[in-house]
Amino acid sequence: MSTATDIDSELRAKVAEQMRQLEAQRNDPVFQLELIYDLFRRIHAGEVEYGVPWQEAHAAVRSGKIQETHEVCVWLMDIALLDDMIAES
Amino acid sequence: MRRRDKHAPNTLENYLMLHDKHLREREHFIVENGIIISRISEAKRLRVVGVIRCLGNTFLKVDKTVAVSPDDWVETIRYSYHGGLSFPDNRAIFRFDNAHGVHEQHVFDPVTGEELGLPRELTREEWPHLSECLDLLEAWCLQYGTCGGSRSGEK
Repeated sequence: MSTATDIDSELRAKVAEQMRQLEAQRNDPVFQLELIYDLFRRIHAGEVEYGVPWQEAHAAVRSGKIQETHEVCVWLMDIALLDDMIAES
Repeated sequence: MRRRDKHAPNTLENYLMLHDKHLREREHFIVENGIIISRISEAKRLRVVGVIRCLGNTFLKVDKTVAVSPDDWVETIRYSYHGGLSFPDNRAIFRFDNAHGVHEQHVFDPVTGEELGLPRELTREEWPHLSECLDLLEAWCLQYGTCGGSRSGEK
C-alpha cells in the first residue's frame, strides 16, 4: 500500500521531470518552430471555418456574427497568443 | 482578515504540483486525463490543452494560457473550461471563459443542452480553477447524469 510519503515523493519526482521537459522545450528551436507553425495553421483554419480574418475575430464574436463556443474561445486564445508573440518580439 | 487571492501568481513548480495534486484527488471521477502542457518561449507562455474524460460520459475540455515571468512565476491569463456530455448525445453542460476579455459563465439546460440566456459575468473570486470545474462536472453527473447509480463497470 502506498503511504502519503510515497505519493508525495512520487509527485515531486513527476513535477521535477515535467520541469525538465518544459525547460527542454523552451530551449529547443525545432519544438518552438513547430508550435508556432501549429499556431499559424490553427488561426488560418479558424479564418476559413468562421469566414472572418483573424484581426476581426473579437469584433465578430462581440457582434454575434460568430457564435461563441469553446472552439471559438480556443481560436481567440490562439490569436491572443500570436499578439503576445508580436508584442514580445 | 484579508483572504488570500486564489488567483495570485505562483511558482511554476508549485503550479505543476497543485495541478497534479488536484487531478489525483479526483481520480475516482477521471477516466482519462489528456492534458498536455507546452512551453512557448517566444511569448513567455505555457499552454495547457486537452480533454479530461470522466465518469458518466462527461468530459472537460481545457485550454489555458499561462504567463511565465523571467523568474518562473506563473499566472493564468486566459482560459476556457467547457464541461459536456459525449453520449447518448453530445451537449454542453457549462463553460467558463475569458477568451474575449470578460470572465463569464455560460449555463446550459441540463436536459436539452440549450444555452440558458446570456452568460453571467464572474467576480475575481468566482473565476474557476480547473479542479473546481471537475467538481462542478461531477456534481452535474450525480444530479442529472449516470454517476449517481451503480459504480460497477462505469469506468
